[in-house]
Amino acid sequence: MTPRQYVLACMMLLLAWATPVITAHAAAPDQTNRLWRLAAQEQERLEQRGVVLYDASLSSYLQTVAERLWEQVSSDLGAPIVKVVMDPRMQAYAFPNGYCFLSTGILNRIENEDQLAMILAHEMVHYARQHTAALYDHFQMASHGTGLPYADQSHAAGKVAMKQKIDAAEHQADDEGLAILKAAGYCETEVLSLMSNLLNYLLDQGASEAVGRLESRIKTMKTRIGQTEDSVSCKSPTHGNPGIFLNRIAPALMANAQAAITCGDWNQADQSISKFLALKPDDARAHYLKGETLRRRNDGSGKNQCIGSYLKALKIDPEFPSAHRALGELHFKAGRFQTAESYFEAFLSLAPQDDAREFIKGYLRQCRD
Amino acid sequence: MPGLTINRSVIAVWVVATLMLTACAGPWNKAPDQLREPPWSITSPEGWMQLSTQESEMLSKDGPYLEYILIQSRSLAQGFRFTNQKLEPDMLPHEAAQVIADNMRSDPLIRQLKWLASEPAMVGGHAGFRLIYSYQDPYGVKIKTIYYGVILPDQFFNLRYTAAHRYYFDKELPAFNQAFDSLRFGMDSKRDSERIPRRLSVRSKDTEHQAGGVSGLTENRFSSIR
Repeated sequence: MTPRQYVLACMMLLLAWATPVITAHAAAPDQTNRLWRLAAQEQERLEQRGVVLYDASLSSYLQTVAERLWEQVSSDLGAPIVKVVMDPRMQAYAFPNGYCFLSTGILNRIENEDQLAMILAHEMVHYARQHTAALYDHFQMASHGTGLPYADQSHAAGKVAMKQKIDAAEHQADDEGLAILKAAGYCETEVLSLMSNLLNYLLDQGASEAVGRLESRIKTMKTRIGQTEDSVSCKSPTHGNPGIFLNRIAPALMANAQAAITCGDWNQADQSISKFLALKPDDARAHYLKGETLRRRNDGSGKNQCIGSYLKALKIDPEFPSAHRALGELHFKAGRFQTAESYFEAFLSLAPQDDAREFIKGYLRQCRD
Repeated sequence: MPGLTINRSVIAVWVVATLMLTACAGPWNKAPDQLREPPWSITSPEGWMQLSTQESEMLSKDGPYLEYILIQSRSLAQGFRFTNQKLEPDMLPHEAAQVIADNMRSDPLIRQLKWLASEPAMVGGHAGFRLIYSYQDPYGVKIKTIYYGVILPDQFFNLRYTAAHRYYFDKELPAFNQAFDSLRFGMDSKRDSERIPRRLSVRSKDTEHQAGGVSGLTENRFSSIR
């Protein structure tokens, strides 16, 4: 990562929903161009890492919610484009060029469309107000030591000023985001549940500084929610039926389970896959991932349970190769070679090109020896 | 031979390497003929330099940005940088390879990660695994790695060869293969059979060649991915 990309990445993190960012302040056009170029590079980096989730129905749903909100925003900028990144951490960030990224981790935590709308509305304000551009401008001036009142003062003073700008931007995104949410017919009372959910996540992560900032924002939000007559008129399409919402984001739940397994975040993997299975109990891959979570967390209790999950996957889809492989490995390790052999044979016939094939061929030879 | 032509991109790699070396100049010494860090020992490639750290031994000829061999023996309890998964003493080679691969996949600085091979391998006479992968580093340089790993009774041993894909990887591959072939563990190999139901090393000669005969295997493997 180049230093400029690093600065951009830092700013995107600061602008993320769960952690706080700057007052609206238009950067010079050449700065803006440079920033947009950096944003495009950063997005390319995400694409090249292979972590962007492509699911047509999910993308279409998220875009519909974003456009409904964007209709309430007065801006000459184009409508934001929402993308999902496979990452179990709770993140949402808006790039200055209008691309808004939600992590599967944050989608896993959201309970309904109203909460999703608040996150998108908040990020939209960052985009519409070009907060990142203003912050970037501020960074540039600070690094050149010009144009800022504290330029000749200590580094600490600069940090304090930056923090104030960040907090101001967050409060503006909260305020204006709430107004957009209400104008679009979403239920503002859901915002406090969302923020409390985020707070619990930050507490779990031990992010004490971010916790303090979020608590301050929650306090402000509490004074603003329920103050107007229209605050109870929730007209969102899925209000009162979170099942519809969960069905629409189901692909993100599955992707989050897989991403959480990769990161070794077993609790989140279990939570995502359980949510998914409650919606789609006949999905073989979901049962397989449940089994993977139980097996790979290796806490002693899940070893037998995982066999049940793999067998369920095979009952639903007898030709699901990974479940055959996993069961074969479990029986092989337990010394039940005959049973393992049949699973390994099934795996190799169903997935002859699978990356694990050479390992399985080796185990199979040992079963036959 | 196009691979041996020093062109502009190779020069660029050299410039970056020089900057990197200047930045992280450390106590590099001439590598001893025989590198020993019980329980393992290895014959160093001739003329290479060695950097010893608490965690690992690194060998390099032209500088670590261009190519290096890293040898590491770590406690099974030690965590990974990018995943909370843990290695367990009873893991099969494939399961251990999955943990290493997941840690690589979770590295945010790696781009265009491609898995070129994932297979069983004999590592110093023990049943382990071999991964081959390529990726782009943060400077946009394509890097290629051969990673051997094996779970020993109480530790995880790994040995990898990483080099700039263009020119350097193939150039020093024979030196790495020689070093790998010289790897020995000074421990009782019976313990391996206690860990898993049957040892992967108990196999026909044909299989032994496929899993452990690195030179032959490397020939075939690399002719297809060059």
